[in-house]
Amino acid sequence: MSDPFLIALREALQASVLLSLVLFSPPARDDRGARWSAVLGVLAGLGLGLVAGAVPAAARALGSHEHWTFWRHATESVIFYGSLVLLIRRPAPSPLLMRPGMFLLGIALVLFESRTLAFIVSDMGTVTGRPAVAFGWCGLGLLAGMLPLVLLRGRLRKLPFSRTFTPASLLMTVGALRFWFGGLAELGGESIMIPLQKGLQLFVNESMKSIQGALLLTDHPFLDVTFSGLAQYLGSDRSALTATVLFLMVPPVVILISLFSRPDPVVDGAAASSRRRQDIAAFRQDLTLQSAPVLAAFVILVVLLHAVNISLNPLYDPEPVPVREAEGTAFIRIPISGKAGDLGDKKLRKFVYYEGSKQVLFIAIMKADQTVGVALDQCEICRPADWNKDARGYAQQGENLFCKYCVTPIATSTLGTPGGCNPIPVPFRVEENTIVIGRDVLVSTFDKAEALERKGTHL
Amino acid sequence: MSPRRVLDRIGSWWVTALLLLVPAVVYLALSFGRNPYPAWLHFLLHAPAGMSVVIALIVNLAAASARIALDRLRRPAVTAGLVRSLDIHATVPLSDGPALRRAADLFRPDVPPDAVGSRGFRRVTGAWSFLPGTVLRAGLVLTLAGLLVSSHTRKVYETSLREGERKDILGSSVTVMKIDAALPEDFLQVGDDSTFRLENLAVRVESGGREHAVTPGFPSRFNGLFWRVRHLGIAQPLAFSMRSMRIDQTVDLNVLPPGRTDVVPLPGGDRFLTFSLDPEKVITKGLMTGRQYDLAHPAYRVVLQAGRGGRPEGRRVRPGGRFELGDATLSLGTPGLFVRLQVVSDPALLLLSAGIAIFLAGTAAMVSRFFWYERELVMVAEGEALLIGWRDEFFKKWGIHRFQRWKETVTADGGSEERRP
Repeated sequence: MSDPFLIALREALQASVLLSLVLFSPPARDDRGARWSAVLGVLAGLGLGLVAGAVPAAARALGSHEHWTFWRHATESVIFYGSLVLLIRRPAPSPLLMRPGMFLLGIALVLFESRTLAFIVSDMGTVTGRPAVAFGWCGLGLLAGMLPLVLLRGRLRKLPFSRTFTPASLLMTVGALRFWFGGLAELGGESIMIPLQKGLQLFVNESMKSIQGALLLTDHPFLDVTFSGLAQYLGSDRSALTATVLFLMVPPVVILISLFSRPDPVVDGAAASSRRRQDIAAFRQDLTLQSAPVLAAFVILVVLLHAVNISLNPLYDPEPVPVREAEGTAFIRIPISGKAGDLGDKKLRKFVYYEGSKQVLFIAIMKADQTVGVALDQCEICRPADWNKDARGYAQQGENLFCKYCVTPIATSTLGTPGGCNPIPVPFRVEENTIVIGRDVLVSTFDKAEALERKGTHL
Repeated sequence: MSPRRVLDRIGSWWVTALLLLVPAVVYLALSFGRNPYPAWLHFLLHAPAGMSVVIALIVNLAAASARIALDRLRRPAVTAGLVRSLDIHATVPLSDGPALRRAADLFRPDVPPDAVGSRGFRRVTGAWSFLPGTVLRAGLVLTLAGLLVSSHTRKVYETSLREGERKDILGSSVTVMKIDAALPEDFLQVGDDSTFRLENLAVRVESGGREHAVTPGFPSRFNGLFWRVRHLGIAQPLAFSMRSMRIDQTVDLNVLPPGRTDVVPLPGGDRFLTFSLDPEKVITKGLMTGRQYDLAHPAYRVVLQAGRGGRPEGRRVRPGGRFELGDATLSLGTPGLFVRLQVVSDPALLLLSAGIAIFLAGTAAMVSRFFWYERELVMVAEGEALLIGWRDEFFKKWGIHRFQRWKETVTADGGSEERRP
């Protein structure tokens, strides 16, 4: 029965991180009423979420999980982009606006997770036949997760949040953290990034087709149509990725620009040079402190974006298949279609040949022109250190090979061409639908690469 | 409310943001479990609410352009209040003659040194820098208007035509004089994905005594209509006989690109012929398989599917002969070409094309805004002091630093300075 406790603990800890940022940063830091509004909002969100998830009639009436996920993404986007509205409008901190705003923000911080939490705990309780116990553990988890915030509130209050956050950067950071935390992992809990990028891909692609249709320049399978190359490029996944990056990076970049475009303080009026230095130092310290959370949010978003791209287009890194030379010969013979798969699927294959203590890793792949490339699974110019062995060699991403160490994409068509980031080619020939590699040739190619390594020509 | 305030409200960027938010929300609302794009486009261009949003956006963008142009071209009078509202301003005593002369230098050649202090002066650079944005918005306005009109008025007609054929299309009588398609004699297809590309296809069309070229690229315009080639295929005369059945006709075969198969149904319902281009040579080199086709003088693989349970009879045939297919006889004449023409009546297509071209030009021109922006230096006397103010449209930090350096050159003691909060 520890699952409901652990899930609730994790979610409560995440919520308390967000809540502590909101409570101890301006403008709520200086307004007791705003702080209480945020806390009440969290409690209201928690209560509403628990009812929406745990009461079967409410769960049915309030829409499917898909709808809740959609509204969670929409809420996160509103919080994230609300930062730009605050930055541009710079509203005066009026209690009339701030307290309801804090209440709503409090609800938004916990409503969706508490609804999913109640749903999953209710499910666990039904499975075990003891729903009351499951909800008891869940309640304990929530209390335990919120306890650090309650106990450490005095220390948190002393942190320099008032110098670190502006209202705009606070909202943007909370939005970025919400993107990062995502929903409840046990129910998919996908981050906004994946539906955003997929949605933008669809939108960009369909828009480009619409424009081509409107201009009477629709594509054709073989006839040369004006601007079809440009349209394909603009409607490609790259444009969708650019749009995703813009969506995520506009708020932090705009906030950073607004911070760094503030002019230096006027110090001519200060008589003493020590006073001038103090003024300039204070200005620079403020700038550093205020840019820190924005840069942190920026890094979180870049990592998330990278993770999404990896999940949408994963690295394919197969386990090497051991090979031996054919009996009575000095040749390694690898059928193009055999036990290790059919190279015709254009997927990367890895093989390993053992000679004494030597472990020769090599790769083979069928290129787009249906010819085969064979190379060592190592690069001529870069190799990770021994403690980073996992980053050695190549993987496949989409149609490209991918150096796992320097993250360089390599067009598969260039496999077999030596130099640069390309894998070290291995001479081979094709006989009767079989790749034939001389054992001595393979080992000597490996030895030469190792000699290069020992001479320190690797980066 | 004054007309100017109405313009400010209608042309506000907040209204633009709100109007852009509506389609975004609608798109999201339509996105549950399906491709929302077709329904979204229909909402924007055909539903009254969507059309209202598009029209409001057109009005808003036009008003925004007018508002910005008026702001730039009709500047308020120079007053002490105006100077104080700028990014930064400084005060120089009017009794300081050398300082006034140096201040006047900032405005040269417009201001004689003895005039400084007697009236207000303004020096503006980059006053026309609003043009790239105006071009961009104009492109958007034309594009949106063009899309809206086009979606309601466009009529599309498609028809197949062979060389020498005459047809009446949307009230326009045309004859295809010639189809210029340089089909290669030695096209090599490697792999399964088609690599066939045909460039420079042109169809010579005669209408009203004048000849026009129609291509698959930009549509040609004549007789008030837009004409474009949508597809190319082989027009194959054939004679087929099987028992009592006889056919003698020209069929349009969709067998391009090589590898594609087309079906010719035969009378009776359960028999048909399939046609596909047959390679002249199949080249295998290692793992590579290439198929070489003579598209100028094509050979076919013809298969007769003789009803349910019947055994298909197939063979390679080249036009210009007579062949046996089981108990059927097939004769193929000299092949020609046919084109599928798209004929469109659309009064807004030119507007739409112009809008997109202007929008792209405006987007490219917007790059200039990184270095082409408005800077304003204003000077006015107030009491016994001269107020000098400075404003940059962008990069205000650098402008303020620059102003501070100027101020040091104007005033020996640095004067006093205030920034806009």
